[in-house]
Amino acid sequence: MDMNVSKKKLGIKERYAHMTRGLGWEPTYQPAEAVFPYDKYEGIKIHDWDKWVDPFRLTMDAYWKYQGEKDRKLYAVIEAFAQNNGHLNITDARYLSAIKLFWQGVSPLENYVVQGFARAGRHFRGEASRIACQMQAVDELRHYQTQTHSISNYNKYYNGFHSQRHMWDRVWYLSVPKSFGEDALSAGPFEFLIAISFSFEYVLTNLLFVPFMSGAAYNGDMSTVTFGFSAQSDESRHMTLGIEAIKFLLEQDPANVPIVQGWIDKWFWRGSKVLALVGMMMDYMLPKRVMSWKEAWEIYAEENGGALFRDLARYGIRPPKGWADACEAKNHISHQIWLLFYEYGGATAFHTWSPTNEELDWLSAKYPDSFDKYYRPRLEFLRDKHARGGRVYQTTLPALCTTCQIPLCFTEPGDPTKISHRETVHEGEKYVFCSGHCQEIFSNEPEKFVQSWLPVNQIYQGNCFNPDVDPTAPDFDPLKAVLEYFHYNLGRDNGDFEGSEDQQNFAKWRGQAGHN
Amino acid sequence: MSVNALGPYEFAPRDAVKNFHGNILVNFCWDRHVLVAAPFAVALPPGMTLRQAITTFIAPSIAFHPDAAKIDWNTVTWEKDHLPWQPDIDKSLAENKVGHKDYLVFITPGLNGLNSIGL
Repeated sequence: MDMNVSKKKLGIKERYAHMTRGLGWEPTYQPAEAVFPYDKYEGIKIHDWDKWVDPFRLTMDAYWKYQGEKDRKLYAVIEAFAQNNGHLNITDARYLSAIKLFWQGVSPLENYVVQGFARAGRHFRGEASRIACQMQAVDELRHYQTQTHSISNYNKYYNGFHSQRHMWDRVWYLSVPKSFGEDALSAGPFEFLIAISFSFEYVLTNLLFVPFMSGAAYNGDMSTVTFGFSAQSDESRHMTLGIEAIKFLLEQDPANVPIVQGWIDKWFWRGSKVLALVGMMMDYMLPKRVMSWKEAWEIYAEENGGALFRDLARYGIRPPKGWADACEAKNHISHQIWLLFYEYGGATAFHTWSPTNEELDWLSAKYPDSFDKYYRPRLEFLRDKHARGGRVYQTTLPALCTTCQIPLCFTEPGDPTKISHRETVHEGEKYVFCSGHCQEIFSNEPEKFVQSWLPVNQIYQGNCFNPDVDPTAPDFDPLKAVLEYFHYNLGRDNGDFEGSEDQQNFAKWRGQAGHN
Repeated sequence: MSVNALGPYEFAPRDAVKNFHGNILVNFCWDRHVLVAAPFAVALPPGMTLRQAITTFIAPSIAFHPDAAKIDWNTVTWEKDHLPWQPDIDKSLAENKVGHKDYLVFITPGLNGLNSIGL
């Protein structure tokens, strides 16, 4: 007997249609404008939300399945790492500074991105875009959780991992990624998408994740490698979302082009500044180095990014305004940032140190145009001074850029001994910047950046002491009081690696693994 | 340009001078001596002389630089917010018209940093 049997399984396209647009409806109790109040005011014009297509055509049910499988594998490895004292397999305890910096400054940013995509996933009018954003929100939450679980094992043994949430809102150098994240979160949903999905995830994320995860692999950190792998398929999905998002916006209306261009200019520059921290990690913190920051920049920014902007030229998009200056800086920023942190090493919740001769030679080879002339003499001078008992610990606070919040340690393009600075007076108040690009970002939205919570300025305003502190006491030490407010364990979290508790414990425990 | 917002978007500047308990914030940069990794921001009473500010805060902070001991503060030349500036260092910051968040650069001719190339 013949029967009409309906197909058991839907094709991927049909399923995608049902599980995205098929879940939407036209509001009837309220006008659409009241339900979606935030997707017009930025000036972006969308004529047909149905043109948004996720190239992966991923639906929520498939998403849960994939992520569930990845989590099972990941947690098996994390468990084995913990049980087998995997932390003793890393190359050298100096490597921990890289993980501390990641944990203090990057993981909380993942948590911010959860919030941003959850919001975008509520406020875009198109169902497919909402669902893509919701999945990315869940991804980022998973990344924050898996990083927490992987890295918590290090917190059992080493210093500087203990007060992440407390430090994030207070510590001077963490205000750099924090203010970056809050700038994106407080923008409209379209700017958020260009800031995070395109400028960060698409143009710059390889500069963060590839060096970090390869660095972990090179340095025996199985735990970090595994969460990196587990995140990698998510990251490629996010990159695809980034390129989809920008093409969608540019194809919807020509009036969107200049608005998007302005956001690309802003967020490329902001992202390149935040990534200076990664450059320092690659060139100085990894005992076994993968590639230099300059090489990573050349591959991932200049080659890949260059091709991308050639592709986007047909929409009328040009490379970001700060492109040439950011490329010129590849010879300098990792060294300038490391020297800054070294000199302020009494106030960091990770260790700094003087590179070995072998490491200096590696840097010379990787930076033939800049290292021997501008950076080796400084590093050697500081190392000699330390060897003679005079480790430099700067205690006078640095001037900060109002926009990126990084101390003014960067130099003028093409002039590596001239500290770059700019000033703007807005409504009678003066603001200081590290560069013309940061100054321009301020000038485009001064009302936003007059609110910058600059840690140095906050310290001088008296807002960074514990409540029971008496600044009038004769033995009052303001710097110590600030570090206590940050919840540092003084003498254990901060200071030079040489002689640190981390160095001593790692050597002792590793020694015990091999003999009695 | 201004912030794109749905409603009124006005906030007081967070670093207004009234928040600094009678002090002003002053930035100091030693020109072409990048061994000192970043310029300093120091909160100072406007009645303090420039010389006192230097002696109390700046000189100790740059003392690790081999050129620091050779500085003759009487012959130092200055820039304020990118423009040439001639203070009387024995007069107060207020008398020298140093304002809140001004950016001062001191130039030490003849002292050229490590290897004489501005480090």
